[in-house]
Amino acid sequence: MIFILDACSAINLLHIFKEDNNFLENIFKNYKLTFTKKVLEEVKNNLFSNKISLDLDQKQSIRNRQNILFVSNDCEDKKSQEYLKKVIAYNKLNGEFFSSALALNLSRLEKDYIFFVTDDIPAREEFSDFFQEHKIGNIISTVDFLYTLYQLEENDIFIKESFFNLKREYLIEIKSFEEKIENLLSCYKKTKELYFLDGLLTDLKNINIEKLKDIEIHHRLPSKIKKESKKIKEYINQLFINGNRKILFDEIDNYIKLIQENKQYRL
Amino acid sequence: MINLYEDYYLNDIPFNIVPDNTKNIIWAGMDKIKKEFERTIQKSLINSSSKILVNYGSYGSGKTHSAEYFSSEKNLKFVKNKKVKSFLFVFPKDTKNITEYMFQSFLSIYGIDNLIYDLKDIDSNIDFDKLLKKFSNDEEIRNILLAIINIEDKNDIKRILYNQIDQSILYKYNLMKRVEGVVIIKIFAIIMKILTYKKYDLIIFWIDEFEDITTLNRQEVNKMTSFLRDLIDNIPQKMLTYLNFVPTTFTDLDSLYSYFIGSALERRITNGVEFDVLTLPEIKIYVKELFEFYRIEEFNNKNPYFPIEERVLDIIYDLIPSELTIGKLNNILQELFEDAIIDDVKIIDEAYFNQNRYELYSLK
Repeated sequence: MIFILDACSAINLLHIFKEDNNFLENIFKNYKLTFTKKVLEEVKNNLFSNKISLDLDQKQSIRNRQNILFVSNDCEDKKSQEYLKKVIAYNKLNGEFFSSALALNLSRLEKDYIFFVTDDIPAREEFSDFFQEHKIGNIISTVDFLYTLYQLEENDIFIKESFFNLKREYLIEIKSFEEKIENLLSCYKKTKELYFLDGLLTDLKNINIEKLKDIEIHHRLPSKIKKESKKIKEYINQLFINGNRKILFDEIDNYIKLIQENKQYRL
Repeated sequence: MINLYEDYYLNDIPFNIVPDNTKNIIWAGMDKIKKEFERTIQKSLINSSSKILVNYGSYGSGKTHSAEYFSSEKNLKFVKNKKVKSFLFVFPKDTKNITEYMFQSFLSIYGIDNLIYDLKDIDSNIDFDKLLKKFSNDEEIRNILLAIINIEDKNDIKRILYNQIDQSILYKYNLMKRVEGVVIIKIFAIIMKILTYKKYDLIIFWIDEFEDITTLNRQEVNKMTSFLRDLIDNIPQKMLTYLNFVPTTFTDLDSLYSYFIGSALERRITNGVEFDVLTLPEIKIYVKELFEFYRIEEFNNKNPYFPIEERVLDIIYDLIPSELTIGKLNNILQELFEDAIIDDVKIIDEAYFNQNRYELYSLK
């Protein structure tokens, strides 16, 4: 089997294994993982998008890790891209598009089953029929990918950890918003601002996505508060509504249950 | 503008959302929760095996307030003929050394002078040296505690306990070990055992904001669970630890147990008190009882919620029944009060509430 990763999945892997020295390298050594040139470009440009809580050392460690991602094939070709464009009437020349075209070409060249790993829900919906009709393989999420490795690897400790690390990536971001709001709270006493901030903190602590996505930012609020609230609202909408990380988290919980049930064949 | 005393018959606004440590902490309403805590504490006094209980509920549901309330000695007097001591810790922000953080927080809450006084005061019929031998076979550990009890220089005591000593101090007091690493937990354990030998029948630790464990990496999580395991292994009797936890859609109680707590602690830890959103009768009892603490003697109105009309409480409940925690209710009523005072409103009725509710930030 061959795995083609899109930018979001590659970034997730770099982040969740940032504190481990060899595991990611071993995955790359033991499995056929590949990327398109476009995806590598997107990884470079978005390596720290939505990550506000990382310190300089952590950023440097992730940047260094980036080197293990490289284009290991020269199978990207115009023919499969033109064909894909025609068949699904797709005009966005993004990572998902080039990855799907590469999947088509590789499946024919290598006569192998291709997994396209992406957490982009619209892309999954857009390309799934194409993968099915052309018997290319399957489109899976980063969580599916990690669970596949869990099934295949004899040493599974890190795979189990990775599920929680993936969740933790987002919980740390939410925590860093909480700390900013707590700092702002200490500036006000018995004013309207205090009630607004306290409500915001409550919704962050309870991770109330439904309320956070619709924060009402009143024009009378001081600019410091408006700025922070806007950032929180954007973060929640971008990841948990449009990017739908919630689905990813639900997948993690389902797989953790399966792991606990010990449904795993070992040689 | 409204005069709180003359117009509302109150000596302060009761719903203070900023914790005020100078005031006596009071308990209003939430009778079920209070009774449950009293029951778990009483049960721990009957069955003295040390245990860990997880109190859970959304943010603002009263967990921290409960911990603060039951950490005050006067509020533990419901236990007849028994002495209980309680300590409240906030989850460590810097997790490099959790055991050290907990030990030093313990020292600062107890006060080193008070601790030494209590340790010396345990049993006048027996030498402290002999007492120590009852609880530890480790001579080096006993020496550290003996030194702490006998040294007159308070700064040196502090330096030893906080591990801020150089070789000369070790030499001066003939100590072989520093208070660091495994020594801390051993010292901690002996102190607890001595305190529960005759002085206290139960010691309670509350760790607030335990949900922060979900943002730690595996190594840091292990440090926290090792600390809890060491605590329960080394102090097998008369110790009750409460962990306050906010379950979220991303980390529920099941994942706390299965992933963060792990198998080493799983058998020693159980659910404690559940904090839920309030029901309408609970809201009314809470507001009524809270007002009673702040009423001035001249109050003789039949409405126990005065200046709020009962109907306003009904409407607030109907607006957000699924998220009305005690914290949320306090915020709404405090903000409403502040607005009413400025607007010179003598009675907070349905009309005034409806007219102002869109201006209430705490209701958004």
